[in-house]
Amino acid sequence: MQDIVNFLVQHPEVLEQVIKGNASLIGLDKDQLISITEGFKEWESIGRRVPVWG
Amino acid sequence: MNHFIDVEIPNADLNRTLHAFLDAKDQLHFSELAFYHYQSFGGTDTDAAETLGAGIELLILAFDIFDDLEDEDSPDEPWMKINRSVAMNAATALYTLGIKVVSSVSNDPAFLHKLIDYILQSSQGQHEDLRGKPVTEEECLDMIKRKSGSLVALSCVLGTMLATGKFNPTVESYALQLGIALQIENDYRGLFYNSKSDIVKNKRTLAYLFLKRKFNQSSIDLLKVFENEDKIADIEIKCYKEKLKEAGIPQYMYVMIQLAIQKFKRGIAELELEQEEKKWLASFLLNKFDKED
Repeated sequence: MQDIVNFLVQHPEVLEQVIKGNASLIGLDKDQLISITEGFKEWESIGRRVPVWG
Repeated sequence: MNHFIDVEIPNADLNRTLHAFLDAKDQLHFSELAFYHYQSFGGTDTDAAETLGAGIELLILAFDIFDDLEDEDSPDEPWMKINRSVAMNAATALYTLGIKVVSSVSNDPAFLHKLIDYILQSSQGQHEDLRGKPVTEEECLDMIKRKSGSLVALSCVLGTMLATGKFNPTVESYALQLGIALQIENDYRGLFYNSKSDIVKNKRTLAYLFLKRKFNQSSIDLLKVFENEDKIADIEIKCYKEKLKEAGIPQYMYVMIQLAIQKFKRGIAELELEQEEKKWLASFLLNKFDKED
């Protein structure tokens, strides 16, 4: 997943098409695909959950 | 929880010490996990569920203390402000008391077996973390699953077992994923704690492993900051956040959280519960950790 995320960070134009559903990423399963689209759409909310471990 | 300390620990000084430790605890997420699983799977003995929850929270507090002592984290916590040997012994008492309280709710050997099994899994994950063993993403996820996922599984599985008398592998499976999601979130938050930055300590978190790939200049810059300056306080927080974003750290970690959540949701969908009950449980488990209280 590191390589895919890095590629999409470096190529926002591809990311935009993936999120819109105009481009697909080969070799990923359904969970991975959803995680990437959801993850890139909402990553700014990271760290806002209730802390669980100290 | 105070009640169990008073019953089992007559030694006045240790008793006071444990109450002080307990007072520092402001969250009871793990007992809620056990309690709501107990309810969702048809349990009706509220006293037993509350005792289970109390025992689990005592155990979790003991693990938190061990973790801080091992990592030399959280200087403001009461156990970090006293003699380390005294703190260690008090945590051991708390840990033992936790096991005693949890095991008091069931005579089923399988219940006790699961309790011990998750504790041992978590200890092994912690060992790998302390040793800095994970090198790959997969190894890191496995370490997180053992270290943190096991404790979430302990709560969810024992709550379910107390209600049904049976081990439910589906509950174990999604609870492990929930634990992974929560730990990654915690690791992200840890990037901003100056005194306990995991990266400064070269801990093998997903963030560290991603930076170590040196995909871009920002990753290299951040690694230099951590290695040379030793403190993130020296960079402005805005600039630091921007560097993390340019490096792809929050995006990567959030994608990994989503991956664990997808697996969690699939697990919940497999439960043999009414649709409404599944929806409620999923929403409760996710929202519980999704909102600031």
